[in-house]
Amino acid sequence: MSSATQTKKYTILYVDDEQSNLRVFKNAFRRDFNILLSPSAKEAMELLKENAVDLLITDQMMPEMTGVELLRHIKELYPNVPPSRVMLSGYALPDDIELAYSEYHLHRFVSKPWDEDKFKQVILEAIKAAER
Amino acid sequence: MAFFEYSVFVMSGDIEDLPERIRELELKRNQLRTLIDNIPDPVYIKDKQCRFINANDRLLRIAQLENLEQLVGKTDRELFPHELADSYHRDDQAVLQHGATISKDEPGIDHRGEPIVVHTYKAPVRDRETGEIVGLVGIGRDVTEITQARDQLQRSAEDLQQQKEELSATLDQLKQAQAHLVQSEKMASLGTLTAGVAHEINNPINFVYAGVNSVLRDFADVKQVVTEVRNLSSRADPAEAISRLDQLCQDCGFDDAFEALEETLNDIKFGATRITEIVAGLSRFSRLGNEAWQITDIHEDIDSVLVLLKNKYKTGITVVKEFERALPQVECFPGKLNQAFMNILSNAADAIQANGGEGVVTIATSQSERFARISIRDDGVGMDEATCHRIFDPFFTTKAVGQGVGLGLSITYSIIQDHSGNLAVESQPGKGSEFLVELPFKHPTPKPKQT
Repeated sequence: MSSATQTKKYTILYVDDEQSNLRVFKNAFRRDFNILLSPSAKEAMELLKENAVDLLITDQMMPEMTGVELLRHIKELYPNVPPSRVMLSGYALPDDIELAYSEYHLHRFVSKPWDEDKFKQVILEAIKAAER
Repeated sequence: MAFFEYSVFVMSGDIEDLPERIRELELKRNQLRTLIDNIPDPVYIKDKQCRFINANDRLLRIAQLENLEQLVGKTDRELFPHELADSYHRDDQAVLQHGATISKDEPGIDHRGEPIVVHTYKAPVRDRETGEIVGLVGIGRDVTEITQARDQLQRSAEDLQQQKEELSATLDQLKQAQAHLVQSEKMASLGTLTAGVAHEINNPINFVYAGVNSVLRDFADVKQVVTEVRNLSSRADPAEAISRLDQLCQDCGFDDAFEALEETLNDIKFGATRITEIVAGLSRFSRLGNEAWQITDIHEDIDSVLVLLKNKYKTGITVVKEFERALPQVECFPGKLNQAFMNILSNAADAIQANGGEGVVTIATSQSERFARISIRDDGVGMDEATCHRIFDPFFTTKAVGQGVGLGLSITYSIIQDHSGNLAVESQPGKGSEFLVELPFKHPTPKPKQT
């Protein structure tokens, strides 16, 4: 991160079991944010122990643990962290999303494929909402 | 006794035999008398003026007379209600005037004076020599019960006809309802399919869509540096130019961009390939527009179904394939067969979901002389015996409202039957279920009808 010196960059943790999704996300947003990547919910929880993260973005459909389950674990582990969580999915059941909104501090749900400019807006909004 | 006088005249013989003859005649007369008195229907003879001249006991009882003498010389009007008598008289006239025979049902009365239905038969009596009509004979049979029975039968037949029409209408309605429900089930399957395809296809589309934007930005960064390099030879001070180039590389993140470009291009290619494969799998699954018998590789078909069920199978479910590599190809309707596999595999995933969400689905294939065997086994919730017996019944479902109408396995069953195959299930509550499909390698002739 050669240009990381200018101002404070927000840190985003993105969880997705598709390596290509992880790379594409990093390459799209590496100029604007510090990006942490995790290929599974389990590893994401390890990363959260050691890193201060401003925003968590997670895929929904993943082997072993879904995005909604990850959000539930996070809420249990860090009950006081404000709702800076965005979920990303190719397809999700409406009931799962409802649950994530009402119970697990989900800020926004975004459908794949995402558009870079709009997604950036969502990311900034979610972070600002959490800072308030 | 006028009726029997006739007989007396035709008799002839020696005068010495007269007492013997009279005795014989008496006997014959007695025989005939007994005969007509024992006919269960009223029998009578009338002269040209419609007056009774003879009758049997049955008629006397109906006319409420003691003996024949009381009857002889009387007309119907003196014995029966006028309405009846007039009608009888008209028929008598027709017989006497025109030699007609009458055979008809008409009102009458019985010996208690109760109204009944009578089948009347009347015929003219002719002079043997002149052929002139001299009177008539009549028989009136009480057909009240038969008529009532016939009317009853008629009404029953009409009722039956009406019921038949109602049943036929109900059947039509049921057929319509069934078609409607099969459509609902199709829509439910379509929902599963759409969800699977949407999930499967949106990931690779994301690599391509987001990747292209990334590439454009990375390329813009790299382009600045490339432009500077191209102009390097024309710079007055090469050393200074190289140091400016280094600075530019630093400022625009050249190394990152350069590395990202290659990565992203590979991801885009990967995404595009995946989308192509999914679309190929979709057309393999549905065999659109191809409803004829085809030779197909069952393993490839099952794989294409699994691709479409990826969203159901992604989290918590392990698929174990025990495929018999030498399994010959099978002659089938691939689109329909895939629908059958999809129903079974989708249920297997649901059974695991209902059992806590983690489990194994084992798909094993094997062969016998004529059949390909496909076993699909899950370690999900399983079913009790009662449920097992009913799962192929139309509209039987253990799922919540809105998750299909209970036709999935009944449709699956009929698809396997159309292939002259067998479908069996074994299950134990808490242990899981196994569906065993047997399909003949060659379809038997004549071809089963397509549903």
